[in-house]
Amino acid sequence: MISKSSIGLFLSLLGLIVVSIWSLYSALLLEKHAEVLFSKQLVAIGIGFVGLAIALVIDHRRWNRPVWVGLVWFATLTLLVLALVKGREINGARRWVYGFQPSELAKLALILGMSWYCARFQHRLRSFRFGVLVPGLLTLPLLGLIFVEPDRGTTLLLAGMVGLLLLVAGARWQHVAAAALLAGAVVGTRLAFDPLVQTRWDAYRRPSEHKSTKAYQNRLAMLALGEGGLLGKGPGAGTQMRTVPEQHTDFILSVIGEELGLVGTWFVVGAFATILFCGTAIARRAGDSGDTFGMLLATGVTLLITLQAWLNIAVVTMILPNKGIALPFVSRGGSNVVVMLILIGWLLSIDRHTLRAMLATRSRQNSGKPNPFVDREGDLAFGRVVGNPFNP
Amino acid sequence: MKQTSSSFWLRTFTWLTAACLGGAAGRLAWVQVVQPLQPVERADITDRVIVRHGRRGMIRDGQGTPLALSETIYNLKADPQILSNDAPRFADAIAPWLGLPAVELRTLLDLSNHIRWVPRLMTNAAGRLETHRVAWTNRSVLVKSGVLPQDWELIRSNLHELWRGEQTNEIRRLTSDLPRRKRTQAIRSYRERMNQLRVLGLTAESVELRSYPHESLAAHVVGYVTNALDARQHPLHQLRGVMGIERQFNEQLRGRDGQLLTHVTRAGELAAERELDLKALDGMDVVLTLDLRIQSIAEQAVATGFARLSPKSITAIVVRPQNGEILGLVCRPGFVPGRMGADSQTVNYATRMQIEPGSTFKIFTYAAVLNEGLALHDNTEDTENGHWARYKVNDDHRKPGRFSLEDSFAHSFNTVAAKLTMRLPEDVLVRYMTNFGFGTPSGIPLGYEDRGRVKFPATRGQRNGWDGFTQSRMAYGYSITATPIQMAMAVAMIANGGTLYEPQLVKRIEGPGGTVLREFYSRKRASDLLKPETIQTMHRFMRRVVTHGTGGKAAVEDWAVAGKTGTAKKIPPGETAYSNRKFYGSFFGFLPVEDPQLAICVIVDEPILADKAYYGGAAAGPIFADIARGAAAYLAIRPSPKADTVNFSGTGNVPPTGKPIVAVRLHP
Repeated sequence: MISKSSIGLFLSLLGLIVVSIWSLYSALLLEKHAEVLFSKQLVAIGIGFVGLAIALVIDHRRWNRPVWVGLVWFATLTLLVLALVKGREINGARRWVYGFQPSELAKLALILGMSWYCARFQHRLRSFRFGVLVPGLLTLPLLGLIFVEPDRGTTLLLAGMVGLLLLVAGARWQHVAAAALLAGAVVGTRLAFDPLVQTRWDAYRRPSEHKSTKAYQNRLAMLALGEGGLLGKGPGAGTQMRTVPEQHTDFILSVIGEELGLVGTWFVVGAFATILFCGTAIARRAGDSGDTFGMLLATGVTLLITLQAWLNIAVVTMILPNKGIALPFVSRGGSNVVVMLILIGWLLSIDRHTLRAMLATRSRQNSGKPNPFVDREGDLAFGRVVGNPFNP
Repeated sequence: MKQTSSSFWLRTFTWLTAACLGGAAGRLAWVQVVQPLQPVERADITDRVIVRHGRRGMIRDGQGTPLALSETIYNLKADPQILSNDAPRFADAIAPWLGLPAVELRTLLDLSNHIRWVPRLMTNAAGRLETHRVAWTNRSVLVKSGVLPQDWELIRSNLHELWRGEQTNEIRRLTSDLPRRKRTQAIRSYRERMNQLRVLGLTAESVELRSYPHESLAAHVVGYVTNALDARQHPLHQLRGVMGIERQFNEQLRGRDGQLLTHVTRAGELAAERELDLKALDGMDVVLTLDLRIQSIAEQAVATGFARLSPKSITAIVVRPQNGEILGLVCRPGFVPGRMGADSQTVNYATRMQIEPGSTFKIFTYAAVLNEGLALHDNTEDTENGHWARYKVNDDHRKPGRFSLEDSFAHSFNTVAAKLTMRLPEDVLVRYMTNFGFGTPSGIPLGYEDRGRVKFPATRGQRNGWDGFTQSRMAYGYSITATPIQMAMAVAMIANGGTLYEPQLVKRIEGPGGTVLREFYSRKRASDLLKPETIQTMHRFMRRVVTHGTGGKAAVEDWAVAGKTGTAKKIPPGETAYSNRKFYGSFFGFLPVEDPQLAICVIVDEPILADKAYYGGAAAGPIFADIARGAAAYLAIRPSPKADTVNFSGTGNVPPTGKPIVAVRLHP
């Protein structure tokens, strides 16, 4: 059974992956070891699709067990600690271990963990203790470790996502807001004295003063975007973006912008918007069918992907100061694309299983006996749903 | 309630995120299409590359005296267009610092003197071509050249303080009647103008000056430099050695340029944002084996000889036989490295003159014959009265009878030398000559070097190849060519007992502060070339040349000189036959004979014919003696015990004093 949401989601995903491969090819042309980086990325995309398929096949509700949640949680924690202890320092941060970024896994672990927690304790979420304190304590180790890596952007993103999930699950907004204020105050004072953050803040506030230094990357990216104009210079014709440092990771959008113009960047934004609407539709449908865990999982995944995309675009277009957040599916980075594809796999899985459950329910209601076609013990054969199953 | 709340938040967040994405899309449209950032903005911040020049290293002699060194000097330049109306005032202010008369400086800096009206074709409004005159201004007027760094520093600090004190009161007074805003404006523009004059009024262009404090001394060894050119023939700010050590060790001598890559704004350099800051590296010093004293003694001697003989050229080489070090190398006429003129002669004859050495070559043929045991030192030989028809050998001083080999050598009988040499198998003779270093480059590090030519028996029948007379002529130094340096090294080989060295000219390469970066050692090309008995005999024979033979004028009071004269007929360039008026007069020798410390070769090209001064002994002998005397005294060589037996009254071409010995020939 394939719903329109799933089709939209999958098509957006494919579009982004195609744009990613093409723009990375263009951006990596002049890099050292370009072919190695590029083929590594292709392999990562392949692994990601295998992960997507596995996540799609497994019923997402199987993950709704403390044992799996705990396992993923502890694995992430271990990897984060390992990254801190053993990881190689790259650009001043210890984010990698065994060629993998545990902070990407943390996204998965946090979404899974929070969804499980909120579904399990939904009836107690309105209390301060269960609504904020316990989830706060549960997420703090992971967030703290990511924070000290340091990877401030991801921490912010994940913390925000946890807050949003709690709100969606039914925590009181006053509690969440208070916790957010507290955390914001603590982290804000900590960050205010951080030279890197100061640098980026300077670059953000007064870009013209630091255009060759602190805001160098941003400015060149803006130049590249401006060079692209409406239709862009054409694939492979970009020149400005070659000067943007690390243009193949966080600033991949400047490559797209220069070579494909506004058309290309709007395509990317549109694809993420599609993911947003399809994802929330899936979440709502799961919620409607009584699958709180699935709803929360879908919400978390959707919000995470779209917010991360938005943060990245905002950084590239200088709406926000520089953070170091990758554009999902598009930026180079193996762990990112693998985890993101698994998350999409979850979304598709939620949709699929929700759909199956609803169909089964409806057919049972209609005929009073199980429908052998849709309500089998095993997996579902592919079939085509005629009409809208939710609104017959 | 629960359901409502969750769907409420979900919907809210969905739309909020959607709004965010929409905002991002709008922002993208803004930065990409509506108001893109123009790259023109880069103009106010410029990347500037400042090249720092590394200074070229010194060339020094063995004692550390610099023969070539680099100094930085400044050429002061002014821009009359910037000075414009302030030129007279500026000229008056800076004239005393530069030590120039103020009046002249005023004229020099006056803009009107530097405008040239250049005709140029232009189209007028009607579309016709018209000649217009366009003003071209010289914006870089040389005010003073060769300013030393410390002087420039002083001038610059003076400039910085120029009009500082008088400024404030002066402007106040001048602008007192202006309204307040205009007054502030006027003061500001005045100050800016003053600053402009202080910074841009007088600028300095640094120039690396290569100076040769000893001028033409050892010029052929040291060489000279020119400005290096890039591929488009534009001068680089770098010197390139063109000749001699300057050229051969250019890579070591030249400094490495540093580079400062930085960003400059209107406010000045963003020092914190320097991207590349490479210090310049000064070049290394090359320390030669030359000894400046010996070199100058040799130059003096050669100059005296030059005045006496007015030849085409004189070449003299002083070698330390023990290790092949070149202590002096003189070519005259020479040149002054800094000042090349029309009469500058830059060819190094020591390595680039292949000549038929003449009788001096008998040293080597006698040595070969004696070493092969084909003649004994006490043998006698018939001179054939100076004419051996079979091999067309002639002597210009004929003497009938039998003479001992020693006397034959001392009086340089060609017939005897030819007879002895004919005893040698052809290939053995050639092997000896090649072993002595003839026919191959000596290896002196002075660039291209002639090899000389040794004819091989295998070339018999070829054009200019080995023929029936080659061997007999090689006996007295014809049919073979060699360069002075090859011959000097071969003489040093005879002197030191049979070891042929590669001429050593560079002792070491030093870095800054005298750290030794590379040490050069003497290199043997071959050793034990001759038996000790042969060496002994040759020393005795060569000593005899000076005491009783043709080389009397090479004798020195306190040291026993051994050597050999040579008077070689020359085939003048463009001719095919030997001239009877043009000769090479040469003297090769060493001293003291009991423990040779110095080997010296002197070759005079085309000495004057008057008074028979063209003979080797007469032409080169006195030069040799001068060099030997001075160098030996300078090196404090122990005087020889038997030096007083020298015949000082010798004319250089004395007839044999010993009676002809009639004896039985032991070896046929």
